[in-house]
Amino acid sequence: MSRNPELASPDESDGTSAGGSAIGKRVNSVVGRKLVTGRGEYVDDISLPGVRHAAFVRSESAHARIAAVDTSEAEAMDGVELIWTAADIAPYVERYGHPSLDRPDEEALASERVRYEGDEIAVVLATDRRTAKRAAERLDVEYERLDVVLEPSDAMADDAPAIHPELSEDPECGVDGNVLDEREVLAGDVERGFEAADVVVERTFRTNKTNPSPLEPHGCVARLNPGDVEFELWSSNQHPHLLKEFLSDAVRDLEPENVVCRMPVIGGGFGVKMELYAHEVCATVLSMVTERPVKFVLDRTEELRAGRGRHAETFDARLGVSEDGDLLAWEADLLQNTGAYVSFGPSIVTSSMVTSAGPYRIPNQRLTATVVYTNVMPGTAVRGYGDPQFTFAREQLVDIAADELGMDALELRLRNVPRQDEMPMRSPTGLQWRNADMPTCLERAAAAINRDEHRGGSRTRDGKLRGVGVGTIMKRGGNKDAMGADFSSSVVEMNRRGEVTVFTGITSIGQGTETGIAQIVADRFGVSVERVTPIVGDSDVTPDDMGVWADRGTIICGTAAAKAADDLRETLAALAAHHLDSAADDLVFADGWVFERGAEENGMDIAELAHEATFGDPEDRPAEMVDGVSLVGRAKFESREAEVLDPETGTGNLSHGYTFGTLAALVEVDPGTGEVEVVDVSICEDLGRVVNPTLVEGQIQGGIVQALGEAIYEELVYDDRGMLTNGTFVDYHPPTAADVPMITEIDELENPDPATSHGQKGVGECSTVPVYAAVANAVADATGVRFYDLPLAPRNVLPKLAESGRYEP
Amino acid sequence: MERSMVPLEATVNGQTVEKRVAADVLLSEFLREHVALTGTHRGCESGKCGACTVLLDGRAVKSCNLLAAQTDGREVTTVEGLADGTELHPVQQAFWDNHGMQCGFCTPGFVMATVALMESNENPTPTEVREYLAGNICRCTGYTKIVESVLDAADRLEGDR
Repeated sequence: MSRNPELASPDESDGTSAGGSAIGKRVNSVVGRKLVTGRGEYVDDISLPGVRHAAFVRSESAHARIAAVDTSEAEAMDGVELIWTAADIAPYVERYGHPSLDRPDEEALASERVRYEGDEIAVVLATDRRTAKRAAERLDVEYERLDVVLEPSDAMADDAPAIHPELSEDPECGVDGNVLDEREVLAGDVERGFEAADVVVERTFRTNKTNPSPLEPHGCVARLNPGDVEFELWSSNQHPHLLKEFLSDAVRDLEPENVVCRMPVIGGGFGVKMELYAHEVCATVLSMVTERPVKFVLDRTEELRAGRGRHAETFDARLGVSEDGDLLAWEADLLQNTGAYVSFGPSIVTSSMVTSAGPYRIPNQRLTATVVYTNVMPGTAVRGYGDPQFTFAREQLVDIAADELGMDALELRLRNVPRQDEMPMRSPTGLQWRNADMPTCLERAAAAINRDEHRGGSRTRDGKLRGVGVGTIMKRGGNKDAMGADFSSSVVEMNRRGEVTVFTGITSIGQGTETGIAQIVADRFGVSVERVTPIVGDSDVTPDDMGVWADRGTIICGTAAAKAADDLRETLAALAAHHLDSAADDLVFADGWVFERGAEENGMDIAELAHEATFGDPEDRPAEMVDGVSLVGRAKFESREAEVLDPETGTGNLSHGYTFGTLAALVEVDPGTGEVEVVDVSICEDLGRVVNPTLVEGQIQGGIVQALGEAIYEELVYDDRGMLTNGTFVDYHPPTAADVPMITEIDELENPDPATSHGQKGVGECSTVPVYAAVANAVADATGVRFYDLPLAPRNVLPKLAESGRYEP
Repeated sequence: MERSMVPLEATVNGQTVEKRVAADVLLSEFLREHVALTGTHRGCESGKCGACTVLLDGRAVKSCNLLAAQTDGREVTTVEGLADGTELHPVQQAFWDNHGMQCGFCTPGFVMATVALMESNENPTPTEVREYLAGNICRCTGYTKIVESVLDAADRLEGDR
């Protein structure tokens, strides 16, 4: 057994063996080859024999009683097999809603009233997609229109029509009129904090309603096997295991043990593919009833009307500061325009209130939230989960306060963020901050964009107004679900050739977690990533998990996978120790080789070890392995960090961990047109340990541009009857390559989180958080005019510039 | 109402395809549902997102904006037609190596648009790339790595010449 001399010397830097190998490497995405060749299989690419296609008839009124539905013309069309309304589906379904929020306000098909334009009224099943869509257009729905409320202030008026009267009238349910929930977070003594403050700044901020529009629309394929009553659902959804539970809750007589949720390749998620949607319920029921596979794929106009998205929120916010620049008190009343259904509304306000002070130690805080039904498309979880909106308010107040104090806004921030040597610590709202260097994030992001050079605003040669602004990040990663846990399970298997498969209940939505997890597992065995195959997204094959959201994939699922790999490594080490006549603890796994520390020549190839485990002489093994060597490792990782929030104060350690960072934006504003262009962005985040720099950069760049689109271009605009006026990509403008800068000033600090396998922290959502704020601060720096309403589009910017009198029209 | 049918003979990825198709079948629908080339994606079906971009006689077109019948006698290339066996087209390799994709849904469209760009401009500047690709939408990457992929593809193709 001699070692290949061409292999590099193993890195034993972490002292535990297998150091470093695959971690931190720019490994290509493990799914990239099939994606660049067009061979990724998305839901719409699944073709099953005998499949039928479904389409919805959606409401063309924002609030109405359904007086009559005439299906006769559509039913007469060739190829139409079935048309169902609420009465037809009623025997098969229950009302449903987010399981932890106790407001089951959704129906698969609207039974009596529709609550927003796009609400599902009927479903058509046909032999092909085109026929289903055409037939859906020919249904005749008669509406008795009801008064429409589009803004929370209108919805809360005494004479406002109740959108869910049955919930409001139910004494068991917390819905009161259209107010579906109220929440509060308290820390310290906010009154005394404001009394002690020398400067108090107070403003009202409004954020916009947007749709993250993953380029692949929602869709699913449902199939019942009538033989063994097993039911399969392929869906463009972020969590196979949870979906199985949600679906069983909504569909009567469907037990979770009879359901398999299989997630194919998913064309983007961003949060809007996290809950149960009506198309999933209807496809399930129709496939059970017809005993045919049913495919249900939405189109872009449906996505913009009914695919859900980020909530519009209003903040009445105040910040109190001492003359020395200590942030003393922070208070905000949040009004969320939740839309027609609860979805994640109350959960989002809770999460964003607990983290609303961002990276600042503000001892006295009071946050309140009012969560209100209206007749617009429901909002849902979207990348950032309420933090981008809160950050827009807070970071502008920090800049405004700095102005009033005559202090540099960066200096004010530096004074109020925790230093690394103060950690671990609890934030005033109970967050456990374990290890991060926030001051360096501030300094480096500012330096990278040459903040000192640009600050104060200037004119470009072509007459534009240039300015710079910053925003900060303190984003949670992982979650304490209301059901009580954040966990992941993983199984790692090695075959006879020493190749490894890792089974994990994440899904592949483009974020690259499967590649990161493959690297983590490869690292544990000291093998190359090419030898590790991740299996994801199948509730039958992968162990129980909560899916991909809240930046939990690499931290929670990655840690579970590392533990499962360690479990198998113990077996391998015991067997190798027997063969090498060494102690298991002395073995190192690196470069595909298992060897004795300090005596590299006493080692064996991992493939040889796997072969030995499979075909070797049973007598020539440790005693406990003589009747077979199981090359399977398994583990569960459950966060012990995350806490259930204190019911009195609403505070506590909401999540497993937190990622800190700073983003700076350089903008140019055309005073003649009101157009805002972001010409440069820099970012510095403390990411603990970067598993794959290329994939991490991709997440950072994508998160920034997603929020740039929302900051400048995107807004769902409804007319006064609640009809969406910009329901296509022609009118609702997602940014293109020509609209956004190249983002290359990306700086990553690596102060590890001691509570994850490799020190990794959450990444994917973080860069979305500071963008609205940084752009708004930069626009204020450039123009001398402050903007409190998003988006910073010409229709909002130009009138205020004119009003300011600073610029010639 | 009976749909009128038309004969169609086109070359798709180098192979002759002869079919009778309904006159109103879109090219994207034809490729996906009649000849099982599902790499051509439908992201908006309104000509805006570019996920359905294919080459028609070497020129980038949005296949949801064309009727299948309009390709009669012409040559269509889809993303499946680029690789030579297991050998990726240099543009595909560049997108993979530079991580010019995340969820991959827009990727075939960007790859096809890039192949067309390389025909008309062998050595584009970053600004030219950004402007050329403004007809394609990606929601994941933020575009920086897509632009880097295109620039790298140009280098690779130059090396091949």
